[in-house]
Amino acid sequence: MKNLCDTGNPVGLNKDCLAFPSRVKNIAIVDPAAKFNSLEEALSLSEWQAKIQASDGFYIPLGLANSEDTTDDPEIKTTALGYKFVASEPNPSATVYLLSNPCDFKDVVRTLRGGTYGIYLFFENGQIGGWFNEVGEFKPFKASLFANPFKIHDNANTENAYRVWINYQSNDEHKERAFLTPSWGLSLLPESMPNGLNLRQTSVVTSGEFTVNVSDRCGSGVTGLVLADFEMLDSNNADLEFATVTDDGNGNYTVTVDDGANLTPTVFGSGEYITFRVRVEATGLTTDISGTITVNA
Amino acid sequence: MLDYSKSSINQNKSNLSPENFKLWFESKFKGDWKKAYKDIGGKIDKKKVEQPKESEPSE
Repeated sequence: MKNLCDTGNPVGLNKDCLAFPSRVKNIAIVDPAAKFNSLEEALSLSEWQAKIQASDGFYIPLGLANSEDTTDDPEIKTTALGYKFVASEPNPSATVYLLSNPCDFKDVVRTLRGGTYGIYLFFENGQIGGWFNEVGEFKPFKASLFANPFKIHDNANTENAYRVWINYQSNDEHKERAFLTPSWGLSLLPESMPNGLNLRQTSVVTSGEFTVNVSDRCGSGVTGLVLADFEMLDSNNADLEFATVTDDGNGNYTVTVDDGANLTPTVFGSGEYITFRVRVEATGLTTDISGTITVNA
Repeated sequence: MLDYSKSSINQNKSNLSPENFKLWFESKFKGDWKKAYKDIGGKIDKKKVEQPKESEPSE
């Protein structure tokens, strides 16, 4: 399969390779360490689906309503003798406006607070954008992401309500950028995604116990979850674990957290926090997944 | 008091002795602690749990 820019242009312009870049239609926010081991893997639909369904850091390719390049121009300075030189080469940046809804965007805002993520770009013409490192791995662009609570008074531009700022962290990655053309349509990827769930805390922590509500997106409560469906992602006390989960039958769950199998375990207490999500697996594939929340004791 | 029939418990709690699990369980749940203990893989030695401890024989 021939890919744009496969052919080098050591002299002159290769007219076979003339193409304006297509517009970015979706972005996939992934773990910055995510990768495909080879070009073949990166072009494989089953590899993408496997990564998405395993939820090892791959998220749905988020649809964009609009996007803007906000990259600063290089800083050009002039010496006292009149020579111009490039004093700085800013990293690329962009503002993107998601296709979303108030419920889902709440999770996006809660999640994207400036941490480092990886981003694969999906173009209108079906290409996937990333970069190849020195060992031939297809990698996402590293970027810090920040989402802002949606604007509610901008009557003229409501399609731009769900803003995410993308500040790429490396110019070098973009110099090695690659545009792959898979033989399959990108619309197949969302079909592989787990169902999205809303997870929210509904009580303060008392004696290591608190309540949460789990619901379908903007919908009814999700019942029947068990302790194994609650996935601890982070905490400032590595010994903390979910001890019990109790379902009230309406999508509300009482959760207790302690530090293990002791008669009087140290309960989840003042100064401690946990970050977790709900993730339901069936035969190794993620069927339902929520955003992450942090609960402070 | 939580209803055990609607709850799930971390399997690590099976590392508690039956006596200790019973104390822990009854501080949180209403329901059958023995069933809960077995559900998470705990094994109950009936003699140890149900019979009062004998005092140590004097030498």
